[in-house]
Amino acid sequence: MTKKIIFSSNVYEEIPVYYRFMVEEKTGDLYELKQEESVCYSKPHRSSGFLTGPSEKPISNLDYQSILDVK
Amino acid sequence: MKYFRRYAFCIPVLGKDQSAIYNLQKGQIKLIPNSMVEAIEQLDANPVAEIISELHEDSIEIFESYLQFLIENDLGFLTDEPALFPAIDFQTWDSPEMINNAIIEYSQVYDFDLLCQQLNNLLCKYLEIRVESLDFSEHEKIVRCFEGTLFRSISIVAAHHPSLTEEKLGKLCNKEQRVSRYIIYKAPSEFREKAYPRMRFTVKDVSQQFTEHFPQDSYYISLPFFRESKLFNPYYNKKVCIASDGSIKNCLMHTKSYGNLAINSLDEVINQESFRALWHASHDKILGIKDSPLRYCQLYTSNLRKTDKGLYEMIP
Repeated sequence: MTKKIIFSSNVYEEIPVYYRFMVEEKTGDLYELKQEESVCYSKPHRSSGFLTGPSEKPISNLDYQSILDVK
Repeated sequence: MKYFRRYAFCIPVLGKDQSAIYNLQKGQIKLIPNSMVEAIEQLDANPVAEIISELHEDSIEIFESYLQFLIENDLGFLTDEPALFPAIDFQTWDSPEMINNAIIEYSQVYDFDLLCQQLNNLLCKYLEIRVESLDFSEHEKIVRCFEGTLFRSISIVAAHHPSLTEEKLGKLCNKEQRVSRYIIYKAPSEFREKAYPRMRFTVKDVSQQFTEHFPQDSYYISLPFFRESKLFNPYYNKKVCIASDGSIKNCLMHTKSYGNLAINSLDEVINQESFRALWHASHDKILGIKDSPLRYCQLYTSNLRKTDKGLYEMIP
């Protein structure tokens, strides 16, 4: 059986950081997607915007800039 | 032989009457004449001297002014080795998540916790949750549903309720770091504190905006947005919306529903070809937009209707 990580993501929970990732497992000729979990005890760089923060694009019709008076 | 090479993040976009050049790194757009796009296309393929040698005498001055404009505005550079600077591939776009974002009208008609689990399994990253006037314990229940999920950012927009005090809600917001905006509208007074940077009480009635379209004077000049909007509709692509009655839609402003959480799983609905149709309605396929030089930096939230020619028209 071979295993390949095909996607990973993580969840910010102060410390530790839980990583969850999708793996592709091959048994014989069959491929199967499975979700696995791991843990990392280093604090992520908060300012990177990678773990938290709004999407890079607006996701709805709401104009948050006007709601929050930041225009 | 000198070639002019655009920086890979500087992209010309041809419009009907006017064109634009996007600087996706600096987040800037410069409007340019259509003829400059033709000149840029020639510069992409041929050495500068060769282009000038083939131009009519009257056009040389204009061509040189275009080249000067491009260099002075730091949109590219001259090089002897153009092959070392390949262009970005805009022919493909994909992302690992099955659903990227979800807009949810919170209600007790359906199982919100189960919905969060389903969205989590689809690797959804961003949530916007619209909540009616509910007491604090309901807000605690909502936030508890995010535990153990992969959501990266959650916006909660809720109507005020007398039990929602600034301190209680602020602590709840600080506890769940992924709640990036907690907005309480129709509040008795404005509240914004440094201790709770992501929470805001406003006297405004934000619910009026729920049925309004996104403003057209907001521009998103970024490589991810540009790439996605070349091939997909950045508003509809990988989005799912859940109305308060559990119906599953492309947009909460639409009447058309593709299923209901009471009888369908999200996975089943989002894999319907009809549900995904608008995902592929890229801005190049929308009448009235497809010729705009700003079509790759604006968000269009109108409903769309397919025409006979495979294009889409906006429904007012």
